[in-house]
Amino acid sequence: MRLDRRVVRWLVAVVVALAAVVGLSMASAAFAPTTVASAGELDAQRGAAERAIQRVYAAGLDQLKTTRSLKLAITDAQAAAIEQKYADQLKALRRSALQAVGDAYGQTADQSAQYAAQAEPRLDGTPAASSAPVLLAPRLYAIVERMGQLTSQLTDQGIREMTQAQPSGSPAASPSAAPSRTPRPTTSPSASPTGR
Amino acid sequence: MRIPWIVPWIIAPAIVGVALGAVVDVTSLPFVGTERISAVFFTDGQAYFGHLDDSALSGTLTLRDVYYLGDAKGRGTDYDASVVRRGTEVHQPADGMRIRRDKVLVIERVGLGSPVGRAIAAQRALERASTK
Repeated sequence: MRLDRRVVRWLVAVVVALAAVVGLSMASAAFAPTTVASAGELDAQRGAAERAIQRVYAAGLDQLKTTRSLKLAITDAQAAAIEQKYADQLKALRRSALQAVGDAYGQTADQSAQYAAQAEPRLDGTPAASSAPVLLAPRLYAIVERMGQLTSQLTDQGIREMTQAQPSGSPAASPSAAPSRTPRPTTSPSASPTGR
Repeated sequence: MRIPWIVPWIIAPAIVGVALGAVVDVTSLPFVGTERISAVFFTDGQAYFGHLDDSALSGTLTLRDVYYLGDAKGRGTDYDASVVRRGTEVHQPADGMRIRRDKVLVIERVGLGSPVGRAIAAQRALERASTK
């Protein structure tokens, strides 16, 4: 069977036209212009991440402080010790979060540690002047979110320790649903390995 | 009556031009203009952002480099929302997102200076910085 030359021409034209449309679509996807944030915008993102980290940290400290101000079953010295222990852990957590921000910006581990050490006193100092709100980039938000989760765990643990009743002879002493094996500071005499 | 030879050469390109104009979005041609991020709002209220391939030859829309908004209430951030990059879910979706046309309520263009546009641009810059 022989095809008419005219039909072949039309077939070729249709195939070329379809290929052009598909090629155009693929080229659009492959060579679409993309916007990348400038250094100034990245600084704004870093500032917003620091603000969020500081808010999470401050909220954790506030929760511990509020719990300590309640009438607790433990002594004030014990409550202070527990608060201090968890405040130190929250501080370490904030430092880790700041280092993670440094890592996200492509800094080396040393540079990130240095950045975190410089940022901490700045965040603890006077509150920064109000700046325009910034929607965090997904990578930075993941750091803030993770810090929020860990802060919640730490403060919950601290609050549990502070609100737990001291062990006594009464069977109804502890209202907690689950027994906690967390060691607590105690003033009761205990056997010393030195025999003193 | 004989049709002058030039008439088909005018009519045929005109028809092709009209057909292409109906199919191809001139502003989304490669190398033309600035980035074009689209916001696709579904009839059930969900919204996704990304590069939209809206080819009239296809029964579905394709969204690439996809982001969506997540809840960030009580997280200490400036906004109560966060931008999440699609691809980090447990099934790790790849190769874009195909969307049925009948599920789409609105398609809008995202301003590059908007909070969402800036967050996406910052994410790209961070990805480049971390891969250096």
